[in-house]
Amino acid sequence: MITSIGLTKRFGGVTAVDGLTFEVKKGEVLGLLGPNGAGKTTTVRMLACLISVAAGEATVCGFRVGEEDDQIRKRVGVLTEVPGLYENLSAEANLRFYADLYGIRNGAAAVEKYLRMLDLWERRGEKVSGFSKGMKQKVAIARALVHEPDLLFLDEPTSGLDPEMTKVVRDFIERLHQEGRTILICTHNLDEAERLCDRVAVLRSRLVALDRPAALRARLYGRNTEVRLARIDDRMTAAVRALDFVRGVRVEDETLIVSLDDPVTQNPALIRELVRSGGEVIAVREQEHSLEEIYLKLLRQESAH
Amino acid sequence: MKSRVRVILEKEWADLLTRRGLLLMTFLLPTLFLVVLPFALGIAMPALLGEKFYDDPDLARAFQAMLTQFPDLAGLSRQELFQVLMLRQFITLSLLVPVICVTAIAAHSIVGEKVGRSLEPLLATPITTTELLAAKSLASALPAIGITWCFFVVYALGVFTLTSNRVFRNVFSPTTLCMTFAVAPLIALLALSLAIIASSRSTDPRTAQQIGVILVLPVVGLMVSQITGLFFLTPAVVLGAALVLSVIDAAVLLIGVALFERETILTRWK
Repeated sequence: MITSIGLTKRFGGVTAVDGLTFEVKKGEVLGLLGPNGAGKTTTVRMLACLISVAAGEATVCGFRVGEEDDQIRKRVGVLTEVPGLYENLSAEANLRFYADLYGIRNGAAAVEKYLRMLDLWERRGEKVSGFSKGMKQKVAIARALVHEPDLLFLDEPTSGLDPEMTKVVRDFIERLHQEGRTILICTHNLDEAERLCDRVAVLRSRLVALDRPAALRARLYGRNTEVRLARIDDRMTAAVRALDFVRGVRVEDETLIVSLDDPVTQNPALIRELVRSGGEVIAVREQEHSLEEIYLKLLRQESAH
Repeated sequence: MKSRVRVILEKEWADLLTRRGLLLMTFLLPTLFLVVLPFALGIAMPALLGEKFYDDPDLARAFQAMLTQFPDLAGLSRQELFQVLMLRQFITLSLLVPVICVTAIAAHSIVGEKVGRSLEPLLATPITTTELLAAKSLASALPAIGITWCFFVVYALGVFTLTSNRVFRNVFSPTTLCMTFAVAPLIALLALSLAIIASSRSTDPRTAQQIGVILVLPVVGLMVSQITGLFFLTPAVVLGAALVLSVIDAAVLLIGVALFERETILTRWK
């Protein structure tokens, strides 16, 4: 759905996006993560044909950015960082305006579909100026979808929303994902990225990393099993070290942290060996590093380079 | 299927109808310039003050200058001469109506989009910047010119009803018709282009509106020079002004068009 090769954008002497190469497949949700000024919004703007590309090339929905922009604009929906609605008009009038701009045949039906889907139908005739921030965001999401785009760009979709509205918006994005929509999300919220995205791309002007969160976790930290025991002695740690699939062992409090390749198949043998050597197992779990830890480690590594 | 220009026009006008202050101003101004002031100053006031009013030496000088410039007015009474002198000025003054209306509507429309941050989602649609500029321009120019012409018709009916045929014929001469139907739209277009340029650098509609002052001053100057008899508009002068305005319009419009590019709007408009 998106192919970007060496995508670059400069503003004066500043390179905002530097040689970005990535792909987004149909039905995939890709998260763009990065600190402020990392080039996330600029990347979306280039791919949505809002600003020009300085170097590199990209295709969106099969059309070349910079050459077939009209075709791309017809096929993508953009949720901008702020809702940017017409405050003096009603929710329905706002959506109808966009439906008409996209030349949708049955605009009224499309507007009704999304207003109902986002629980706004009962308040369709009210001026948007009276809406809460969350409701405005829902109208903006409906606006990005009203022409049934093949690809959706969501720039900070839950930024500034209260927890309840954040959940509503996230659930809706998950629903779109389940429907098979292709989505590119820019977000600061790593928990959101973890929940919603198939893969994440960490940006700092250039691409720092791109993979599934689990794969990034494994790459950076390996895979570890935490075994909490009633007590730990040297006999147990020696027995575990002797196992051929174990990559490393360390002890933290009363917990044994064992590095291995595949906890799912190797944990049973590990636990059997611990019990055989006299260990009393209280709990076993795979050690999880949050996406936040991964993200910060990636950025630290990037800074060190 | 509606054209995208029409879609934007309908939205702009729906939005305009919700702005009562702006609407009030667009109707108040022509009411003042083409209904209240002309008939109060040109007809009611002299009628109340009587014949002595015309003995004023300044007025006598203005009559003399006018008769020198337009000898065919020689057969008119002093009252009729005064009416022609005054009522022509308000047609000159009516040039301010499209200037102020178009500036106010365009400034609110463009600065409003900037402040509301609604330009980016709009520019993400398949609309071309030419369509957007055309729609924004028409959305402010059509009501401004329409209101001016409607009030001009009201003015003409008032003059026709309240003055003699000779006064009517001399007020609504080819010169004044050319002013209303050629110069007024051209000056509105100039005001519009200036408002677009000012709006691109401003976050307050009032600041963008102030650009209209550039055009208000020459119009007021023209009116004062006619009342004092220093200078009178002739068909040649008005046609010349229309030609000059056309050239200036084209140049300023090009600057406005250059500013109306997607990337410029998103990255350089402050």
